[in-house]
Amino acid sequence: MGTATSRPLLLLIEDVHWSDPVLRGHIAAMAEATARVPGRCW
Amino acid sequence: MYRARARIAGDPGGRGGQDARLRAGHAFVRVCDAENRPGRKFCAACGQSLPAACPACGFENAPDDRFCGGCGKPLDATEPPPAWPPETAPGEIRPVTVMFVDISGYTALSGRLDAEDTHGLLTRFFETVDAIVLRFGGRIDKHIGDSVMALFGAPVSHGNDPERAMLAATAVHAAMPALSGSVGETLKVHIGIATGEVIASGLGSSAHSAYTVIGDAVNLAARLMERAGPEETLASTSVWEAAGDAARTAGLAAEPLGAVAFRGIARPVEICRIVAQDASALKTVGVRPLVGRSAELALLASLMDSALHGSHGSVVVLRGEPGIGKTRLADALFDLAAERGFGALKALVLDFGTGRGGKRRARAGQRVARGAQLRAGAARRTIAGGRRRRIIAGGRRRRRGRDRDRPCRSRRGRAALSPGSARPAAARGEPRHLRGDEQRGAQCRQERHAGEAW
Repeated sequence: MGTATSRPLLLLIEDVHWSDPVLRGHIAAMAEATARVPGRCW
Repeated sequence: MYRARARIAGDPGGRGGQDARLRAGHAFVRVCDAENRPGRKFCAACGQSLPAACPACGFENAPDDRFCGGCGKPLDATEPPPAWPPETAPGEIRPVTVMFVDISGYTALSGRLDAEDTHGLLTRFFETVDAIVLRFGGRIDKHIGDSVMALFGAPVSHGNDPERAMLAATAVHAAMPALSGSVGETLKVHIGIATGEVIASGLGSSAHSAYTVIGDAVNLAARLMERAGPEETLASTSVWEAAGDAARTAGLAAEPLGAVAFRGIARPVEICRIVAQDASALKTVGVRPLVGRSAELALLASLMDSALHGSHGSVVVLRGEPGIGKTRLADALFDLAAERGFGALKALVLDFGTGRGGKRRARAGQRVARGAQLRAGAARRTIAGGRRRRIIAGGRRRRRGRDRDRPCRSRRGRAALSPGSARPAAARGEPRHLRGDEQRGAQCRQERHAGEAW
């Protein structure tokens, strides 16, 4: 998310079905944060 | 200094740059008419880079200065990424496909050329072959003289590593005419491929160690390479069988050569010659066409554009049957992002130590999709594949037979957190590796990234 404040960022996570609950929670938290982080921020 | 100031200001006289220097560190920073608050890296009005203060002495430097004008310390000093897998990685038994590539007639060639020309030729050769191996998801294990030893399936298994190795071999052969033209010598290679269980680990002494693999497959691949003639790829039949129908779909064919006895290998081995069935297939090797996904791609492109020009990001869930082309579509999205100037980061969740089975996968996918839809509050789309589609050399297939990536015998644990940490690694500002405890098994790792340094 720090990176996304200086330039637009694409994060691809493949094979999420193999993730464990902790990682899934982390991914969900990142998804939630996308609502707050602008796609573009100088 | 004058040059730097002028470039910052965007005017030859450098007045704006001087203005920026004078004002940096005070109430506002400016490179044009707009005033920017301290801490910004780019101008809010024109997008130009703003001068940056040295973290050590506070001296205001031009945005592209590499060393501080006040104290001389490097301004862009970043820690190099840690080697992965580590040179001291613990041993694990895993199925790996090994490929040896060697220049045919190298001894005579090197005798005819002087040392400098030979060095240049080998450099170009290694650059070409290594790039192809990496393109197909392989790993360069080592260079031995004029040979390249490449691994497919270690440290990361892709589920179709034998197929990848054969396609890489075909691509290497196809690249030789162009390479020959550029170096002024006719270069042909002979290649050997074998698959089997090996011990993958860091190996060496306290003075030198490196990640490598040890096992019969390595010896067999080397012997197959020795037996192969110029422009020929020999593989153990198990490689072809492990690849299954995907190799045929990719335009490859196998010519059985029967059981052959090799020096140092106890039993005769069934081998075959790998050939390109359709010459046109070579042109698409490694560049899998994206077929029939224009609507999905357009949707992704529009979401990307809205994220670029809008006020918030987006979450997209790609969901579909195995082999339908999710990875191929994601790769296309990755390329789109690079074209639009996005930083792009790709992570792959590994299945080491996790449960298996369709129900678990389905539940996980639903949970993540539901979490994204409920929590994000941003634009969301779910692209669900309704039917299975075969794409040339594309898509992930269900793992089968010897190709199946089993949990490592010495690494059955599962971890998404670093030891002693209550937060995920990425949350602590460590985006390079979303993996966990290396001693217990990686969960997720970065595959590739585009753009500037992270």
